[in-house]
Amino acid sequence: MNLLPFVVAGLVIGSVYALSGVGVLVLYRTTGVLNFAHGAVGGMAALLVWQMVELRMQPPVAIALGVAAGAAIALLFGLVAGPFLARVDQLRKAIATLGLALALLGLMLFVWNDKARTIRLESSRISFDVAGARVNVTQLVCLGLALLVVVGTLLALRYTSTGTSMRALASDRELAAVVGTNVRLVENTAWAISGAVAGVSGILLADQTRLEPAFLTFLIIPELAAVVIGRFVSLWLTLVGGLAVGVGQSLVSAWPTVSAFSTAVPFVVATIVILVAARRRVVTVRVVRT
Amino acid sequence: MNRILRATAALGVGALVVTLSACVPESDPGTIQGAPSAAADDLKCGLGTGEQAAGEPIKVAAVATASGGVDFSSSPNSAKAYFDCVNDNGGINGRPIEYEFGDDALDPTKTAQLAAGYASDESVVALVGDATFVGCDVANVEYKKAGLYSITGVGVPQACFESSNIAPVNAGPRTSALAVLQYFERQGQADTFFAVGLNTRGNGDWAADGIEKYTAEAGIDLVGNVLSDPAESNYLPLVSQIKQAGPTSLVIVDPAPITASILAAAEQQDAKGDIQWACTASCYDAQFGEQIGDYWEGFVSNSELALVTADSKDANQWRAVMDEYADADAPRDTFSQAGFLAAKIFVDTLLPLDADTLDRETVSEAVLGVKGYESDLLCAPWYYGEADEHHANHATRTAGIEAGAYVELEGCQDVTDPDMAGILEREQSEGLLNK
Repeated sequence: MNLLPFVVAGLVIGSVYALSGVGVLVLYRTTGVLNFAHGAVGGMAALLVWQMVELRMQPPVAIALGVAAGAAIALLFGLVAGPFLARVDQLRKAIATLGLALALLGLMLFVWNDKARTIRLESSRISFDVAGARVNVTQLVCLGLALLVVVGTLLALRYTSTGTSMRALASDRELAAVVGTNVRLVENTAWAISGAVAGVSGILLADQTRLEPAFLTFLIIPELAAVVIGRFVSLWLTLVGGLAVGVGQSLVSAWPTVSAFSTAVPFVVATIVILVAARRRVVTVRVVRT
Repeated sequence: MNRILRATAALGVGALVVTLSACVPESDPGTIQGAPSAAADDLKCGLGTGEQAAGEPIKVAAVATASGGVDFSSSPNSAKAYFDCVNDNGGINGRPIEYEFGDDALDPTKTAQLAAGYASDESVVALVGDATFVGCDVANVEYKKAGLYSITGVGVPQACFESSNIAPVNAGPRTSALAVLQYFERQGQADTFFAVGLNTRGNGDWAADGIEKYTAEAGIDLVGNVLSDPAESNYLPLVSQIKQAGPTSLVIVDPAPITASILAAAEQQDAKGDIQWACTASCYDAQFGEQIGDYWEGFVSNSELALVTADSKDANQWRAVMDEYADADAPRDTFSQAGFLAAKIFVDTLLPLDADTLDRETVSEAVLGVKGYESDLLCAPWYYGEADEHHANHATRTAGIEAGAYVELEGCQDVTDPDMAGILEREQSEGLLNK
């Protein structure tokens, strides 16, 4: 069997998981909020794009507005809930976003019925053969964008003042506030950026997989697996994690005997990483003791 | 905060300007394109007196799945539209129908609660236009205890067709899938066949079982009968399996959104080839052709009732009633026709009775006695009858996509299902097809 098409499809989906994971990670490091609603925000953006295109809007404009809507939803939640979330522990912060995810999911199911919908980006129509696998431009965009966002985020964190503030918040929120960082502004920026990233990945995932509210909302699971593999710290490892989950899922589904387990791949990969990571910590402790 | 507010305001104004300038002109809307326009007579529902019914209301209910990811509410909504029209035309000999439906939110526990609630409310005389995706079996237990009967609009799982107190108007996924297969067989396009479905118990496996039994009997080479996970995100493996098997024709027995995703994946791989692609009635929907795009010109779908554009008495009345009594954006699909037809069968059954004697007992007796009910929406007469299984609709039509819209490819054809022998025999022995 020619496995190349599966590897290509896996890399593409994986790169969007990674892209999403970067959005989750930046928000988590800056505000301490693990955003379970990331997938739902993406789903909302994708459905809004579909609706606007259906209302005869130019697709590029609709996509831009969809991404803006993603950023706006996240920013709004950050503005309203941020001050309250700052005072509670991380578990409660995460649970609050679960509430947002369910509210958005409910809203999407209420507004859009369960008829078939597809988003077709113009770039998906241009495709070519690579060693027996068909690759289209959207898929190249996915891969390129993931790489670009990782590098861009790393550079921005290092060289811009907002980036420096984000890093300050990530290491010590109280201290950063004491030395004069505008904590609220930095946090809101993180919400907006994360929302925009969610919007972009939601639209790309809708093009590559399915445009369905519940489906897109629960894609947060493989996306979180990527972040877990990055151990909630590393952008590069998040990228690697996303790609690994994507390719793993795709390859598992290539064989009929194991294909039923492809949806379990993110859990398996994340569990292995957590176990290995935990084990390594034990080893370090021993080293210190001796 | 001020900076944020200003930025948001600027963004809002910008978005508005862009929105206003970016729209391309819309083509003529119209609820169903290509359908004949309504005549005044179409709105003479029931007695057709044109007078509001003012007597004591007759309570009728339904259980449907309207939320939770699947929305079947178009069936009870069209039943309600028809009842409203009947109430404006003299009702049931002067008595109006009071109709309500409960949403089970794709949760069988909720279905059981709703069913038990309606069963215990003695004033509910019957259930009409139901469309639950999950709970036919649990609901039937309650109805049976209470001597209550349902003229169901849309039944999907096996249990909806194998219940004593539930009789669906539609044909169901198994019959629909077999109809597609037999259409290709008649066209000489079923030398090798491939079936794709959903791995759901009592639903996807039921349809797959039908395909397997029929192909074995008819000597058709079944080169694939694949059930996929409902949460699957990547249809590439499926598409490559299809490509490798290279069947002459293929049917997808999935909900429309999943079918559309499979087709999108196949288009990306340019896997259409010489295969005849088709799906069950779940994707017979005016929006579908436009959503899947030009690549799928010639795509085939089964239709369990008349095409939505059909020009015949009941089909015209359905469209007229929907335009007058339902929301403008309510779906105009097979499920909507099914709910309408369930309501019409119910009204036509009650009209000959003495309106003062209508209670659960007399209504149940009349509903059970329905036989040989004819409508141009159906292919063959519909009946109820006392039995442990109800599957009256087993003759369907076939449609294909031409220039983005469905047109009829073949009229009514009876569908052969190896497991339906008992039903066919009873039709004859009990004379269920004649009035």
